[in-house]
Amino acid sequence: MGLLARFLELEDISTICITFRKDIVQLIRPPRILSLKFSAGKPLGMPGDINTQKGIIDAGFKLLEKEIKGMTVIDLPFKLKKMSTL
Amino acid sequence: MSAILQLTRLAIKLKRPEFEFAEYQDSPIAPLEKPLNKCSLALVTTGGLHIQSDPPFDFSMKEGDTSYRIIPTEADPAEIRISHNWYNHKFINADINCVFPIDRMKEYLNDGTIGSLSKEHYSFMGHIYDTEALIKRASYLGRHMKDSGVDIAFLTPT
Repeated sequence: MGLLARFLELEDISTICITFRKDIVQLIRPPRILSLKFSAGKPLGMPGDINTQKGIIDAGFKLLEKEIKGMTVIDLPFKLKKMSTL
Repeated sequence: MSAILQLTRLAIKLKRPEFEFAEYQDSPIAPLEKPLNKCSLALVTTGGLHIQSDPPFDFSMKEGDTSYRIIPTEADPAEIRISHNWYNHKFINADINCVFPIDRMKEYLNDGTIGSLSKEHYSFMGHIYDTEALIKRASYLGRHMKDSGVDIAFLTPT
């Protein structure tokens, strides 16, 4: 995913990368990374957890509006919720 | 280097001895050139999504399938299939927004946070070992998105 972001940026498309494997994505150095301690199949959290989905997207929009000088990584504090509590 | 990254590299080396993770020292940056509420946004995922009528991704390709599928904004979620077999589909089947947050983006469009949503969104596969082919594809897609008026790509993994 980092490669896609890198080469979209080179075509003048601003990107945000969501990742649960920042160790790998950081090798590519895309400019804007949101890192979460989630896992495959649910990178934006559990089904129906709209607050977490919106929290992640809001963080992405905030980072897009920020002037950055190089790769910027934001560790987001969201935690996976139990499906039964949603 | 993290222990997890070292283990990941080792595991891949066992199957693909010639493969190396791509690494770069610089970060190309395309800053937003207008306010967010004037920008057009497209989703890009590596979740292996495709419309039912489109061909699935090809798992038989040794170096990985670098093609992408177009997911129209107005696609019925019931029409969307996942042909990425290396992750559990339980969560995305319950809520597509776990991987592909199209409903949330429609809400941000409706409340004026973003200016517009692209008519097209894009899905790739993960697990691609032919990075040169992927780079060509990404560059092509970037030019296509720019020509289509897209300003922002919001990328999500599997």
